[in-house]
Amino acid sequence: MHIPDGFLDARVWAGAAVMSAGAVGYAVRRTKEVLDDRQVPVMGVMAAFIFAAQMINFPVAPGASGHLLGGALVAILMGPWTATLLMTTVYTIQALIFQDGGITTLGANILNSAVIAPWVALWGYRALKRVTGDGAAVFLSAWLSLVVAAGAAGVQLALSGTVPLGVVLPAILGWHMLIGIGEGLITGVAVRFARQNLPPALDERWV
Amino acid sequence: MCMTADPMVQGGGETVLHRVEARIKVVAMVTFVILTAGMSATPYLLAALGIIGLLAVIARMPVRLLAGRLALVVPFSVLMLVVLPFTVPGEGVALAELGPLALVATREGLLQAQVLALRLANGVLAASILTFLTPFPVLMNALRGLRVPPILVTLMEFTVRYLFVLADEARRMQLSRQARDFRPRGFLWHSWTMSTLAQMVGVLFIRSYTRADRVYQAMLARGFSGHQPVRAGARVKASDLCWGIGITAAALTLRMMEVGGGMWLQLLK
Amino acid sequence: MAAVIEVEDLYYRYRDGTQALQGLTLTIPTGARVAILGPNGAGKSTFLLHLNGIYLPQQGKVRLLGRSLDGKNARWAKSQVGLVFQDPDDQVFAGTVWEDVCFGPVNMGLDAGEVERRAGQALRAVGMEDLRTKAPHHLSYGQKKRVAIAGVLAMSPSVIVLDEPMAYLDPRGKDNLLAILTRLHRDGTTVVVATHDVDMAAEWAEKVIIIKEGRTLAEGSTDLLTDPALVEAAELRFPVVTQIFRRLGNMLPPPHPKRVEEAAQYLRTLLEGHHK
Repeated sequence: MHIPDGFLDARVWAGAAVMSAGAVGYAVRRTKEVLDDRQVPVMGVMAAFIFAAQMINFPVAPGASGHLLGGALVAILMGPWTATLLMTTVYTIQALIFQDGGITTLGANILNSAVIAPWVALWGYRALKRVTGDGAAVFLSAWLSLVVAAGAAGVQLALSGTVPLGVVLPAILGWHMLIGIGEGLITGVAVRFARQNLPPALDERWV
Repeated sequence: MCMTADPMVQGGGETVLHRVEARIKVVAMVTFVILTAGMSATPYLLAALGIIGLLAVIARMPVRLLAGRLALVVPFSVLMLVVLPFTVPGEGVALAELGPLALVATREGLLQAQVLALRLANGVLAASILTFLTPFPVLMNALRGLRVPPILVTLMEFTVRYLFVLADEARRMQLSRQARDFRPRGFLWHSWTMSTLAQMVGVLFIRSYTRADRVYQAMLARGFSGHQPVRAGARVKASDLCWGIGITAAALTLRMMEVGGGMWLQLLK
Repeated sequence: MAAVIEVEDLYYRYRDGTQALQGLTLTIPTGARVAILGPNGAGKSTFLLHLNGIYLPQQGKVRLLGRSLDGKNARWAKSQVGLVFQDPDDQVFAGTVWEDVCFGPVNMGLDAGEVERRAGQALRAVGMEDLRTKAPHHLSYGQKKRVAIAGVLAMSPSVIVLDEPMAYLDPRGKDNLLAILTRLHRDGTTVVVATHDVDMAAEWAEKVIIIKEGRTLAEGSTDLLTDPALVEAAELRFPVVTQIFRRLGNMLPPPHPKRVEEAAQYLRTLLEGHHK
């Protein structure tokens, strides 16, 4: 879901940029209050982790594969504000250095994947945990976070007049409901594994 | 994500454009992209592409590199470009028959796809010229100079530094699984494949986390206290400003001509 | 010889309950080449992190140049004791070699001129001055190791501590590193190495300290490495040179040599005696 330059109308990308700048600015301040500046190196390495984890592909359907996005994974393991900063870092590097995702659309891409996705994952996880149990809650919230974020991207494309909503929404939602299963499964197993295996001296900061 | 395109590899020698102060380059390129991403008349978009081409020539950027960047464009956009002509309502101009499915391409849809493809090319190429001209550490310092929150810049520096280390680790894990005959099989519902891959992600998380802690401790060992001093950037020279203004003005002129042209046409009606 | 570091009855317990150090006591003489050996989990890494104040004693004392380490002088300790971590990727974090080597001196609050002078000198000392603008991920493992050492040398410490310095180096890389360590020692720096490599310890060290289960099992000369009871207790093995002489058993009377040069001398004497 890297929307490239030119696919969003100026009002839409500017609006999304303002919103995500607000959220990221708040995350920066929150992180300074909750964690001290000294945790920055740890967060930096973990942002690199997201990048590396996104390189692991899983098969989705004949001829198609998907990869983990990781927003739900870090939101559940390291908290939503940290997740926002880490995902923002990853998406900015992808746009700036690898030209994956546009420069004007960076705000929208951050809004979808670094703000909406982690927060939907966290809220979903908290709400579902009591009803479905922990494992299912992780799976469902990770799935949901991907679908909602993709839906947001679809709405932004439609608002820009790039594609009619009736066309883009079913397509983008359908595809992400499918790869969301992969996101959910991998997040579920990885979260459980990480919780069981994190050295106890390390996990007190976030988990 | 293609890791073979190493962002740190600097192309060729020093040209006039390489020497332009980094902050100016960033601002000029971002402005250029903002202005051209909003254009919708093919001739002007082509003219913008011409400016990019001119800059690429001045910067002595290899054509191979430019083409490579374009080829990397995410499948998402390509898919959209293919779908568009058949989904945007309008006057039908072409028919594609896929078995029982008959798809009608509309003139409006084709035009839309063409405009989006041109804008996309403008954005990708402008950004890739920027990274070609500016070594990563310099680019990051420029962002600091442009008041991007220092914590984000530091995070980006760490990410790029450890990206290669962790990607290597992931690759080694993948290889050692392949060595024991693991290969992704079936699809999403193939539980063996999915649980193996998920555990790899889990292991990578743990390894990254413990590595992060070691990195942090190694920094403490050299007296790190949470603050990293800001390095001073180079001074902006008049010639730097000229380049910046030149690039921005060229894009702005095109944009104004496009808007003006539109108004002119309306007046004629 | 005066001691640069004295450790007295040191205890350290992690939050998960692991008791890593339980009454560690040892002395590191000024200007010496010291090897610390011990099986995995003996508490070596925990101990090393005490040497420059990253961990502070929960119980017991660490005295550096006569001053007992605590929260107040931990920063000073970092400029006096340089730690070189096992994996250079853990340590060399900055975008370029030059920035990484400047990191320590900048943290010490030195002015720009002094930072540059020290960084330049440190890079020359490890033979990396030509690669100062390189990004670390473009360097070989051995080169990264040398940058990690330069990053510590730039802080001009009186003691330099290396955790498993020879691991993963190719033969040439090992020779380079040994040459660097020898030069450092010659210039008056105390060099401490934590390692599993008994051959390196036998060849290189003046003093050997053996740790097990968070306590000092023995400290003394490299002769400790040929003591069968100690080698058994510390889960070590004999240096290769010693193994050969032990195989020959009663034919050759102890003390058995442990270094290549010693062995050559031993054989030379033996052969000369034979030819007479």
